[in-house]
Amino acid sequence: MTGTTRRPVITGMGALASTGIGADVVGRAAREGLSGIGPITRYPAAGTPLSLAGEIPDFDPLEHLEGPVVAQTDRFTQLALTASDMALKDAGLTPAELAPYSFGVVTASCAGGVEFGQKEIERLWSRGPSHVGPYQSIAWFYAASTGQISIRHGLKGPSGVLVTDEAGGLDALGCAGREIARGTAAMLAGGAEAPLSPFSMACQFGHGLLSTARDPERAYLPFTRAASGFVPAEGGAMAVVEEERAARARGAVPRAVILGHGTAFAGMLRFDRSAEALAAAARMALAEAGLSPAAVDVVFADALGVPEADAAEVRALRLLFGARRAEEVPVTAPKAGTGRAYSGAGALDVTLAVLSLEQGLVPPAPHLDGAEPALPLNLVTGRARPLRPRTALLLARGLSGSCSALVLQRAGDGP
Amino acid sequence: MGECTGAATPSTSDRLTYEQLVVIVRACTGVQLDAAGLDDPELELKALGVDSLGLLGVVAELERRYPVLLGPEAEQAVSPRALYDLVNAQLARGDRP
Repeated sequence: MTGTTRRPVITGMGALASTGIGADVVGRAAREGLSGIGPITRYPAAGTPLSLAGEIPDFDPLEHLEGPVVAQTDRFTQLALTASDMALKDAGLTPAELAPYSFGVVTASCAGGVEFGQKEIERLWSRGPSHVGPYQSIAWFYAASTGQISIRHGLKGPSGVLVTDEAGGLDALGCAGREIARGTAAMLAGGAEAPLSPFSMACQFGHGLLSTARDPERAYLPFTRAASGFVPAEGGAMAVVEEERAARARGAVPRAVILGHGTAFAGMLRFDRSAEALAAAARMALAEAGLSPAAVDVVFADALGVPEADAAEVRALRLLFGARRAEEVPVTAPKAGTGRAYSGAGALDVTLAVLSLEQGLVPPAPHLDGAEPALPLNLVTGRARPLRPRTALLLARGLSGSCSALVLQRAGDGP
Repeated sequence: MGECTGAATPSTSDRLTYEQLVVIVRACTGVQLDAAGLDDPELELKALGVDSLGLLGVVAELERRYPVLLGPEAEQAVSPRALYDLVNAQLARGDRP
């Protein structure tokens, strides 16, 4: 980030989404505009108003993690641990080789260990307190993923947990970037969610933003006249962030630079105010990056799929870019194909934006090519566009009001 | 996991075997033990990968499956052998709670 010569770069990525397991698999699916949205199978959803979600196909935690780890963790932590293992492998980084206290972890969480918690609460109510397992005490809470990642890899550097809703997936990367600038050698950063339990979905349903559509092709259509809410999803991503020169010195290839991050607050479910807050967050991120809005080549939108929120996001783009450029800048929303994985969504967008910068291709927002646009945007639909973006702006909004922006840039040959 | 998944229906046996302890520990903590050699009093639960929370779950499961009330001594047991001895001593006394 500016004001320092210590530039944070992403050197490794791991991701799991409804479109597959692994950053490259998820990236390929996004480029091809594939969708992972389908009927809910993680709990009996028949007879409930919510029938669709983005579930990770064939994720068996025991294929990725040891039995004791699986026994004491919720699925959201199992996803974060798996993504972290993949990110470290991708980065070719062995934590033990870094100086003690120089490697930290920051994750974002929105739902916490809600599936684990629901099972234990069911035992409490049906059988009594002695039937609640002791691992409930560590599995449910938002810090579980950061804690388990820290334990697994011996990470004792600056660590934290961000509970800022969907915006957290971007905030974690921004926070990691700042820790690198402050002198930390490496960070694991991102977020993963597994919110598909009846308790969690019942809570979510009350706000009226979940899509009750039954056709996976028509359920989550942000920025269109058919927009009817969003499809919830599980999944997320973790990235290894390092200081650029040290990363290059150890032979790592930086995949992208974290140039700037900003965050602002709009108010609980106040999408009418989110235009100003999103624009403010984006301005902060660009100011930190030392860039003008004109430098943005592609926007990964929050794309809530709720007409009022979509309109506010377009207003944010107008406030940021001016009316004309707001209609020209390419905007995409791959989460229309994966479903919206809460704080995992921003982290998945980071993965896809990095791949987009590397490959010169902007992935499309799936399902939107046949839908009538509600707003004047240069929305990437249908197939990936060979736009060779250099700078990406990522936007994310939490349902409770957090609005964040992250600026990523192609790594290039050096600082 | 409370009500440890994979653990069979409550036992009516009047004695805990190491084989049964292996099943319970695996169900409650995910740790796979080997029944052979578990009677070694020097063998520590912690070294085998059973942490303090895991042990709490194992004790609760033992209390569900056997007519015993184990308490803090079992919850702080250092070895599988100590746990085994506590359960079987109570079962032998027959002082069912």
